[in-house]
Amino acid sequence: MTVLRHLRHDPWALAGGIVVLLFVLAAVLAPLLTAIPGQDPYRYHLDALDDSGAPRGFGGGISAQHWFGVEPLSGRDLFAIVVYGARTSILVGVGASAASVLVGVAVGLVAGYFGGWVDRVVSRVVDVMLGFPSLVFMISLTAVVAASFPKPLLIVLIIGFFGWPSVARVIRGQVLSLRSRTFATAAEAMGAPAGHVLARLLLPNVGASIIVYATILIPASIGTEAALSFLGVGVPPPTPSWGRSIGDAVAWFRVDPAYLVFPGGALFLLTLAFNAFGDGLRDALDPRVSRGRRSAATPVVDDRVVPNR
Amino acid sequence: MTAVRFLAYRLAGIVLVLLLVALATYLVFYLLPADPARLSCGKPCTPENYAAAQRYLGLDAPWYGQLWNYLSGIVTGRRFGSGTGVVDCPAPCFGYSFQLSTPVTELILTRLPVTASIAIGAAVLWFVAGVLGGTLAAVRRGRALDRAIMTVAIAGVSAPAYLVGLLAILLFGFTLGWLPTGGYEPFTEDPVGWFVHLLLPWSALAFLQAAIYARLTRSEVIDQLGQDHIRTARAIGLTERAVVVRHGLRNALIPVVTVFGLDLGGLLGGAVITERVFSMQGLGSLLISAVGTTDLQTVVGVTLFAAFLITAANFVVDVVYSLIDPRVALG
Amino acid sequence: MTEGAGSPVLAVRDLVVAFPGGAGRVVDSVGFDLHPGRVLALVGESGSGKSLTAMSVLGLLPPTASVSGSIRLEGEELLGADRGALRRVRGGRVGTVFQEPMSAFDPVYRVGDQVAEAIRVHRGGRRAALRARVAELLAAVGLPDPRRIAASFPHQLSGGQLQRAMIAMAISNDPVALIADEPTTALDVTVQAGILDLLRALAAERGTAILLITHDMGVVADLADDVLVLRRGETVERGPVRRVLLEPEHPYTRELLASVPTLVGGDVPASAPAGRPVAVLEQAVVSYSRRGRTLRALDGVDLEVRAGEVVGLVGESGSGKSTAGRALLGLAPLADGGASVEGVNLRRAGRRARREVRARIGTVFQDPASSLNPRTTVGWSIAEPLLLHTDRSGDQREERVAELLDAVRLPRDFARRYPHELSGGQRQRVAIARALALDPALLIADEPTSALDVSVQAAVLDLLADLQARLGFACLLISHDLAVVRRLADTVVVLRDGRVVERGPTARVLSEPADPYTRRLLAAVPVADPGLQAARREERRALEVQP
Repeated sequence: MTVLRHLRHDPWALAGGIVVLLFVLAAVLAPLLTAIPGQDPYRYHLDALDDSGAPRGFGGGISAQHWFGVEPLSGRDLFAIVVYGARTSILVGVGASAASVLVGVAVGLVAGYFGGWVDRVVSRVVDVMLGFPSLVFMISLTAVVAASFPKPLLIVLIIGFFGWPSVARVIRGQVLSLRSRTFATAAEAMGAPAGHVLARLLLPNVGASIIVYATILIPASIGTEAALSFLGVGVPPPTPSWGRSIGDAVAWFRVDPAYLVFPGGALFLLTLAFNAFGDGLRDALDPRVSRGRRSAATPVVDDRVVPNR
Repeated sequence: MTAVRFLAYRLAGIVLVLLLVALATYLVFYLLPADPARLSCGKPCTPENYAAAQRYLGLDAPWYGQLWNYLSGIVTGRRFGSGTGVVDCPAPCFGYSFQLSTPVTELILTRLPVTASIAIGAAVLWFVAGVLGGTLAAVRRGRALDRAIMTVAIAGVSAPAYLVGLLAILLFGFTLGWLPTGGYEPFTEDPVGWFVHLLLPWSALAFLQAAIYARLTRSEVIDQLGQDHIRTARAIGLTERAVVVRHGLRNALIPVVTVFGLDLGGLLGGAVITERVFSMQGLGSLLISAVGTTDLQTVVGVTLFAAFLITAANFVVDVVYSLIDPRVALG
Repeated sequence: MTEGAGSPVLAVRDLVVAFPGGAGRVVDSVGFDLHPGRVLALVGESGSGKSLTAMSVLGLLPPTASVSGSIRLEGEELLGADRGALRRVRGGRVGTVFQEPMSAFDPVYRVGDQVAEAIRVHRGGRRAALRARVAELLAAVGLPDPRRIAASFPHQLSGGQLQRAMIAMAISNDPVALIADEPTTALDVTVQAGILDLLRALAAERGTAILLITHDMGVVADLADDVLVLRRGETVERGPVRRVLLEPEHPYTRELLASVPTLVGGDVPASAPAGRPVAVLEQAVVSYSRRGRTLRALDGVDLEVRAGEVVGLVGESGSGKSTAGRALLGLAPLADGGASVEGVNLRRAGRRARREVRARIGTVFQDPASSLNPRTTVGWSIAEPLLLHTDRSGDQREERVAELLDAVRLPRDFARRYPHELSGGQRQRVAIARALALDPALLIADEPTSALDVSVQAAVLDLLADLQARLGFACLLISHDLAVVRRLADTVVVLRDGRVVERGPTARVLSEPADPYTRRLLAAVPVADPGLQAARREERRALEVQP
């Protein structure tokens, strides 16, 4: 396949893909990995701390037992927290992105295909939602939802809910341009029902964009989860989360920078890897790059990157 | 369409959007099962106390009555309770924080300058840096400068503002001691202190966004430089700089400004995070502490205020957009 | 070259343009002289290198191109000249007019400001003086109300107005030479005639030398003094226009001229015996609203296409000719009047009946680049109607696809290819095969050959004529090109602003048009014979004088 061949010649994308794969493996094998030094992310090691609650020793208490040192105040093993944190990040990121993509693609296809007032209403809603201070809304929502509702699921739903408009916008734009192309008109002229046009003509042609968009959306969702946890309204303790560790590190990083470096580094590395891979994938699927200019034959993925905050 | 009609049309549009946003916000917070009356009912919460609390907060009215009271309160002000326990909330009333015994509007107004300073400064910085960097990268496409700018950009895209901020504090604050590590000085009291205290927050928040804008601007400028009218501009003997700036960048700005309008909401979110990193007391810290104490009046008030603020800002962007793209204003 | 009065303005020698990679030399040892007041036409099909040759004069080739040879403007070598010198030439001593005036102007600036910019770059000047000069130039190119035009944005003007403004911009610094790259390709014929008149006047009155790049032999006959025929970057033939067009020496030139559909000479198809009416429009009205106003794309049109007959529907852009086809497909809903296909009234038919009607209609559209789904094979595209309207098995569909590929004279193994592996002409053949998959009663062909090179166009038209004669379907041929219609149609219907202005047997309408508009339309089409074209030009001018 040309896409794979293209990716093989893109060292950034290749490295990104491998790093993503390693993180996924680490998340899946978290219990096995942490079993090597005999740690888990919940057990306290007060003996590894000094009187002020800061970890003893070099680099936040790095040792043969604690590969990344320990957490201040509790002495929990930081390596275990980071590895289990990958589970949280990837699950939330993939879950929220899947929700966004599912809703966004459906809405975008419908709006672009049917046009008219459906499209006008959808576009307006999408515009308003895209411009929304969504992080502020997310924070507020965590306050009013009943405490009995599982928090991680709530986070996935909230992030997914605010993610679909950007997908819908891109898909709608592409469907509009595809619909004006002759092969779509020809299908309509030969009496094709809406289902045929949507499923056989439009969906396969926006498929590439969906894949690329998903790879951009996942790191963005991971970043949002980390931001919410950083602010203390995300995944509740004791579930390990990189964002919460970084948030806790604010109070400690002057005395114990290692507590910031490991979770922060993991978050940065995973996001960077996803973005590099997504970039490479877009280039591979975008004929503009390989043929040197925008081709009329294949729609181009919106170049807008979803920011993660 | 004339400019006046265009503006009137847009204004009517944002009023409608504001109403719908208020409706949606209020419904979400009304429908979700967090009962403000129970929270403020005190202990022991007898049925009498509960009913009194409901009456006091105006929660005994049906939902549309409550919505109406809330919305009209924004315009005319509001009064909670009666007799000795009366509390006045002057217009524009975004609610009353019973925990802090202060109208929410007052809370917002004392915190707004901090958040606004961070947000506006960062936005200017990121827009200018992003557009400049992206244009340079586009012109020098494939060369070392392009690669350098794009490498920084992809790293920037992946670095959350709080990470960049914390690292910047570590480097410029603790290690080098050049800049303060946090806090805020009001502009009116100490303009220099204001600027110095904001330098790191601005850079931290703008870094990631500047990277995104550099990527966006680069691809838009490259796209524009392939258009037919660029060939015309070259064929009339314009210098390459004039071709790129007057025709390439000028057209590329149209989609960039569109994205800028969409990012204003995110800007507010970014400012909330930045406040926390630099221990500044802005809207974000107000909201988060309100979430912590389940101060729903403040939570709803701040949220709605933020939505209003962004809608108004979007209107400004719309007007700017119509100025830079003649096809919108006159089409 | 020929009868060059004095020294040439532009002398090109041994020009070679090459791109890295497989393309090799895209322009190979081309040379010519351009003289003051004369028009030299570079003629060729796509890929002939004619535009690249012109762009190399201005140094506007992509940076990856390598250029060698010599390009002298009034004795000064331009190849290898420094950037400043080249900039002074561009828009200064050499003006340029491009194809597609709609995209050649920057959409965000007023037209007048863009013309002023061209002057200011070379001569400077104050605002007021520039504004006066712009108005003067716009008036000189025949634009009425130059102040209003100058204050307009490009999207507010028509293609013809913009192309005149583009010419005003090109001559703003009194250039010695003008490069006109397909200057009228995107325009209607009546508008084209005006632009060609304007260019001719520039050469005659200002003594500007014009390098004309075109694929249209009629345009060559109308405007050029000398011709250079290019094929795949190489010079095939050169000489005075009369000699090259009337007594071509090279076989390629002869072939090229033979494929040009013509309005004079040749055979007009004898009217076929018309059968039962297959498609009927009765007082059809289609309206749409734009900026609050209701406009009528079709305004009471009667049309009848009978079995075994080809009806040519002719008109310029905005005449409503494509809307008529869409109305028959039920894609453009009628506001009033009636439409029926195979006896089914489309206004009363339900969704299901309408779908069944569409199964009886095949369609071929203009743009071969997007007529096939890029993600599926050619075979899938051809079988698409079978998939929708029949319950044939996969094997049966494959068999039918093979038959259809035979019918459109493409190899059977094309079924497994993807659209991007095919040329434009091949794709259009595939589109025809798809249209015929269900043995339609009616074929609607909307500008089926407009995007193709003439030699390819001729082959596709022949194929259509053959298939129609063999299969006997009714055919509605929609085209702006009278010569194309003449080649295929038994009956011609002329549309203007949504109304029928004339109809009748092709031979009669195209030789003795009754309606003044039809007469003007016919007269505006240039023919590939310089002598004849000069006479036709006089006739056209006479018609323009009369209201």
